[in-house]
Amino acid sequence: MTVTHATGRVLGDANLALLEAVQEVLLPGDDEMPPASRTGAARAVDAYLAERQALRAPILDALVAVRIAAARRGGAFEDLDEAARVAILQEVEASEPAAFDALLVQSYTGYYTDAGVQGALGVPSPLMPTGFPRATEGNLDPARLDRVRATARPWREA
Amino acid sequence: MAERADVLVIGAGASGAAAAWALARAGRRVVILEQGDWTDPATYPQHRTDWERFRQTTVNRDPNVRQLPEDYPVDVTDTPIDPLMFNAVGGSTIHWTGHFPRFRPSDFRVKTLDGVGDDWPIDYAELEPYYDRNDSNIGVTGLNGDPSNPPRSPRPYPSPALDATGEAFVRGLEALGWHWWPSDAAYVRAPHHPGRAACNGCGPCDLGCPIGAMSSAHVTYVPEAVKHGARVVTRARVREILVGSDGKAEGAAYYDRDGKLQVQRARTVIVGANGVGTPRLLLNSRSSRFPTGLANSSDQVGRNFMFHPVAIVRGVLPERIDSFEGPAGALLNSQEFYETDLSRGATRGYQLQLVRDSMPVGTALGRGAGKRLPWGRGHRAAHRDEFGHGLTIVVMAEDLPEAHNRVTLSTMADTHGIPAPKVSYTVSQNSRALLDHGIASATDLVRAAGAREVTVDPLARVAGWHLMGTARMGDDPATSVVDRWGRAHDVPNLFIVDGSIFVTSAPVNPTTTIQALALRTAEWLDAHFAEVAA
Repeated sequence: MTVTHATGRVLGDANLALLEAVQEVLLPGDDEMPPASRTGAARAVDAYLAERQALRAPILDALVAVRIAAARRGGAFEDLDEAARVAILQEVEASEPAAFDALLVQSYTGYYTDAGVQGALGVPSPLMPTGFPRATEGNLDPARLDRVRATARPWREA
Repeated sequence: MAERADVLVIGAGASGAAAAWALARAGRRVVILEQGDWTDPATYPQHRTDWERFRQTTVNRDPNVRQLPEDYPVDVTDTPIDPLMFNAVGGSTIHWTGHFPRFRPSDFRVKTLDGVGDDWPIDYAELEPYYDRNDSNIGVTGLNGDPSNPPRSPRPYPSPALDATGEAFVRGLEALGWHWWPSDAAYVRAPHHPGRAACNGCGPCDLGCPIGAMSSAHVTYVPEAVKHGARVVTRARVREILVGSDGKAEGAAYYDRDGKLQVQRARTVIVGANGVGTPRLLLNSRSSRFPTGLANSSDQVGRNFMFHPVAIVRGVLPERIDSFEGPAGALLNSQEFYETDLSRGATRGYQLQLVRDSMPVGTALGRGAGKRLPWGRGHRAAHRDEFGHGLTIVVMAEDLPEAHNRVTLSTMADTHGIPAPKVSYTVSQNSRALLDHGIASATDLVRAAGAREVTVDPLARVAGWHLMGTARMGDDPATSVVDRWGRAHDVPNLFIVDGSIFVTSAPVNPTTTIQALALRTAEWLDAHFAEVAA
């Protein structure tokens, strides 16, 4: 069985677009790793909200706070330049720490459970059936423990 | 009403399953009541790309996080450590790392040797054959010959060669001249029984082994018990143990999966519901004859609760060692600081245990002793520097029994209205001193291994894996709940086989000792069944 993500839809189009823009700032990627916008991170978070009702309030609160902070700067978050977006997220992180933390935790989770991201990190996606066979290959050479045998304190007789 | 059983076992985890197997194999009619369900390894999260998120939800080890229908809440308003458990056939051995060290002889004589805690009424030699039998039954990987432990039989499977993580750990220990040895580990390196494949090192054993390589109870003892005729009733939440007018246990009343109250009668009752669930059940089994709870004339039910307080030290190495690969908790250990040395500022000791480091999500979130990685332009570089670079050491201190650390009944209740357990616990000065010494030692160790940065969690809240002491064993009915055979002093056909009966905790993981004790109790019960069940 290989399932990439849970399914479900809680966020509307506007909130999903905002979440994608926020994640673009949180996880911009680099030469080796894709930015969040090129992964399924936003839709994954949306799916988590469908499964876990307790997550909805903090994440929606965080998105509302982002929207309000952007409006104070006279526009939509998605239309601002990167410096302004970063400043807004820093502001929300300080003013709504619990909500922002929930958003960050779920964004990291969505990003790093993306098959492309896992592949870039050298992690089988999914872990099964491949695993990491080299971690259990061969047997420990008992001679590696010669020093311990010679120097270890014995157990106490009782 | 169901047919009267010879033996009713409450709980299909490590201990209950072992006892059920031994008694079913001996020809006893065994019924197991388990409040959880069967789980299918083929559906475990590792088969999914998004497996790592399930640590936050349905396979979290904390029942207060999972909140599944089969879970009960635990009141943790008065403890700095959260008790962890899993409710399913196999119990907490499903979400487990399988680290399987034995107690040492000195662990049974703590009062005599060190003047603290209490002595057990049994000794290592008495338990040794059951340790061996258990290892053989379930499949254990390891290497015999550790000079710091009594000799033991060759391990069923040999320890694997050191990987890069193991080499880093050993590099540090060799530089310091300290003890190290491969841990006995409850997993198999070749197909062991039908349905159990060799470990492929996939990593997160604590989410349940998707191929049955981990020697969890639901792939070892439970199916074997069923083959011998044991009947497993799942989604059966026991409300109370029933007692007759003669003061003997008659069975149990439980809610079935439809919420209907049922009664299972039995000639003998064995409880294996863990160090929190067992005292909860006994305290909830009050009657006019036992007004303070069943088997509680000593007022010791629920008292002397012990965790293993844990600190985590994580060194970040310059090189990537892929420390997320391989069996999660069962790698190598150092018992350099195991026995008492008062110059450390504390009595008793602790173990240093090498564990696997975090996978991608855990790295980003700073799971364990890691640090939450920054978001934004610096995130990628921070993740690259951390992922696969961590050398993580668990410092596990021996906890001593203290009467005020206890499980009582909470004002909270489960979905059936049964009072939930409340854990009241403080870390003693001695345990704190052991942890502090251990943090310093583990820091020296990871530095000697080459760490460029060290982070510490001085007391891991989400580390209440081991639940012990709440129905302690002893020869004196005034100060203990069960006798040397796990038989309740107050109720002659009631037995307890989980970590509740531990007198002291040793600084090592308890499951191998729990299962050895369960096998020993089952053997004794079978030999004395006519007398006990009369």
